[in-house]
Amino acid sequence: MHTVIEAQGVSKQFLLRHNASVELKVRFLGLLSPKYRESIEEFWALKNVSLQIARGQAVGLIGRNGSGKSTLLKLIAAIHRPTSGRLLVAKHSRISSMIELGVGFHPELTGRENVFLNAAIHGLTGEETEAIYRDIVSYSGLEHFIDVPIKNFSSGMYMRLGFAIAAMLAPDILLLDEIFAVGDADFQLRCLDTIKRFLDQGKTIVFVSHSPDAVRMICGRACVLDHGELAFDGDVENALYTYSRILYGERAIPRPPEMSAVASIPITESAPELDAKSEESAAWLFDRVAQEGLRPSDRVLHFGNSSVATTERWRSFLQENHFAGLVNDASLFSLPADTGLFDVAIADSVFPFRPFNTVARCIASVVRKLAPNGRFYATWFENPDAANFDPIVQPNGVTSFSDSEPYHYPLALIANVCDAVGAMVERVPSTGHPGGESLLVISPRR
Amino acid sequence: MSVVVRDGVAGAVSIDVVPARPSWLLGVFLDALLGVSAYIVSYWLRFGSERLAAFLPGAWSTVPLVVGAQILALGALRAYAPKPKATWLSRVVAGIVLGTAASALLVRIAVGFQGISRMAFLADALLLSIAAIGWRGVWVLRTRARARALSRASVGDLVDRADEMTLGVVLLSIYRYRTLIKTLVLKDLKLKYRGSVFGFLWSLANPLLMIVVYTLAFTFILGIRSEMFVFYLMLGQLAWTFFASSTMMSTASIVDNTGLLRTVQFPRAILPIATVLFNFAQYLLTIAVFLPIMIAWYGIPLAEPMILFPAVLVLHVAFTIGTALLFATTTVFFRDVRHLVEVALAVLFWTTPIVYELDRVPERLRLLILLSPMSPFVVLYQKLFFFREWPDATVWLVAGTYAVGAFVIGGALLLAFEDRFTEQV
Repeated sequence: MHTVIEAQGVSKQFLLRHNASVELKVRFLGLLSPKYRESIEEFWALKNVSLQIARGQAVGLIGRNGSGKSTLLKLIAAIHRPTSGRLLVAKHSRISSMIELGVGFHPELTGRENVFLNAAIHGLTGEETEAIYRDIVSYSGLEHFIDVPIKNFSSGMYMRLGFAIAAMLAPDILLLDEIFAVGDADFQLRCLDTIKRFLDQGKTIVFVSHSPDAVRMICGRACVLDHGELAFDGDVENALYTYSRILYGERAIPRPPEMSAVASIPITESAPELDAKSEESAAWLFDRVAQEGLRPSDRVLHFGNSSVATTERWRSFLQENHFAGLVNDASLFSLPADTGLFDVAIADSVFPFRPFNTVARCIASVVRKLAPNGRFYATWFENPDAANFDPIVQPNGVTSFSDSEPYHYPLALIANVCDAVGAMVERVPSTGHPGGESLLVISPRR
Repeated sequence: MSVVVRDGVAGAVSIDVVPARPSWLLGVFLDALLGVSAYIVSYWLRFGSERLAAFLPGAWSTVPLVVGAQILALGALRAYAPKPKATWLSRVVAGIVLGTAASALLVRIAVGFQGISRMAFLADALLLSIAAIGWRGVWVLRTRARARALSRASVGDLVDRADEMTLGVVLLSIYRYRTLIKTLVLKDLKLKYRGSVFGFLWSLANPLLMIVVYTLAFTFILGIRSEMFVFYLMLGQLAWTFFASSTMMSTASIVDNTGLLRTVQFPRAILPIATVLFNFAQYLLTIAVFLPIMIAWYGIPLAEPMILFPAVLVLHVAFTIGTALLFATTTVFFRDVRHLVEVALAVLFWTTPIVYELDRVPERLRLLILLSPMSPFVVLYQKLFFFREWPDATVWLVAGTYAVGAFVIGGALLLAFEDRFTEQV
């Protein structure tokens, strides 16, 4: 890993001067009345942030307004200096940035003159700028306006010109702040293409956005800032989830009352033929999920034919974060909106031991309640006999399956349902399952 | 000034806003040394080498008193404290001015001013202030350079961008960022004449109109028959215009360019320097057009001293850049500077020998007029082209001190505070 940006315990303090004025009149009034007195508040925009960004990474910075994202970007660009700590960038790397819209443009100058001014600030010579000038103009699509004073530009046109310059300067590090806030869809797509090309060329991008979609599309890693502190640094999905937790707080994940009521009911309902297997099956699934990486902080929705012993095991591992339900319980299919999101959902011996109708509704309800990085595990019985599928060809040529026991609908149907609700399903074949079942992993599509 | 951070961050972090001081012993020693030199040089400036011998005994007898008073005043104002509370530089200036005034008073009471120059006290205070601030500025730059070299050495491939800013780099950056400077100068030129019909011709029309007006006014209204007087006047006037408009514009060069400051990091000194060079370009153009015309018109013979013209230009530009750096920086923190400069320029115009000749000034005031900031440069131009003689060493000395002093002080001040520009403006 070749580090190009390194923040070592970086803090940034701004002094907010309320009633700031050096004027004598105001100073004098301040002696008389506290209303006019200057008060200085220390505001920490960043607190002890340490991170390393390697060459070729695209890192998203997410967080609420005022959480320090833009400040961090400005520190990387060396526009501000850290109050303490150090911010280092690779030697001789060219940094181009789009941090504030239209900043660095002189309103009285024409587009063309501004291009040359901007390129000169970045250290380009006149000939170098001349060489990329045509590309900048055609990329921005502002051929007709390039000789007009820039004060007549719209904010979208500012964005176009700014991004065109930033992109054509061939930077090693590109700093972008909310570039998709203005600009039409067409230009946004072009920006995306350029950014992807940059990444292919091994350039480094630091990207501030409030749009989860944009972050997902561009970034392979994301950092969440909260009140100036680094709350999370890692993969995008977990970062977005952390961010949503910061945004909605505990309000987002209240303990659903009806679910906890259900959790206290001993789970006894199970198909008679599964009695012998259910203990083994639930234990196998627990081990399997734990192996995939289960944390006590994960919020788990758990339903199906698990035995009492395994349910206890789940509960003692997850404690408050464990929510159990019965597949037949109507509350499962209409989980209340304020239930919050689940990291993991478990359906034990539900597919394909229930009517397809039930299973489809179950998938739709659970996927809706999954965190962006959430996973939904379901045991799947691989029916060895395809003839048992019993397809029914209807007069209009549509093939359907009977929705009665033994419910031998094919995996393709499950996949179609998942597709329709914006998720994808993956089958993990397993020979180790005691009951001959395998595992399905359903996750929201990225 | 040191800020200790208490809450928010784990552990207390101490940040030196102004870098470390020299030890007080070294400070006193340097100030005393410079104090003695400044006092003797003042006598030399006042009386010239031929009459100096007569006054030296008086100078030597009072030097311990003067320097002692200056050092005591500096000490009393805590200029040698390791971390004085308020601004360091203003304490140094105040200490020197008070110390010199006190010593003048003591001399008056003790021995009277027989054989002792009163003007030398003023010159001494001015020269010592420049020297004392100058060496402190160099010290600040040196400690910064050293601290940054240390931090550079320890990080290998990575670098703190702001650490790359030293006075040497700023000088180099004038070359490295020549395209930016060129673009900024062209930008100012374009914006100045955008929308006007005659455009750039105005920068030539102004001096032309001035010549016509002056000729009419002085020849026909005031009845001064000497045609050469207009030539004399224009030499000073053009040089003054370059200095005055550079200084005036420089106060806005950083505060009015917030947009550029917030795009990307570049040496901030570029902005005032570009402002000066913009004015210098206009100055050179008018000089290039009018100097040959006037020399031909008035039939002035070419003389050998004129070859020193480039040297005068270099000193003049260095002084103007230093002043521009100084005012560009101070305006960021005190917007009053702009208005102060405006008033000061109006006064300085008349303390500079532009309309009158230095040699016609009463002898005892001559040193004061020569010490007025723009005087040595204007006098140099006049000596070369109007009097066509080699300028005195005293004028060169004052011009050189002003040029180097302004450049070092302005540069040090800008470098010490440029980190805070984006937050202030």
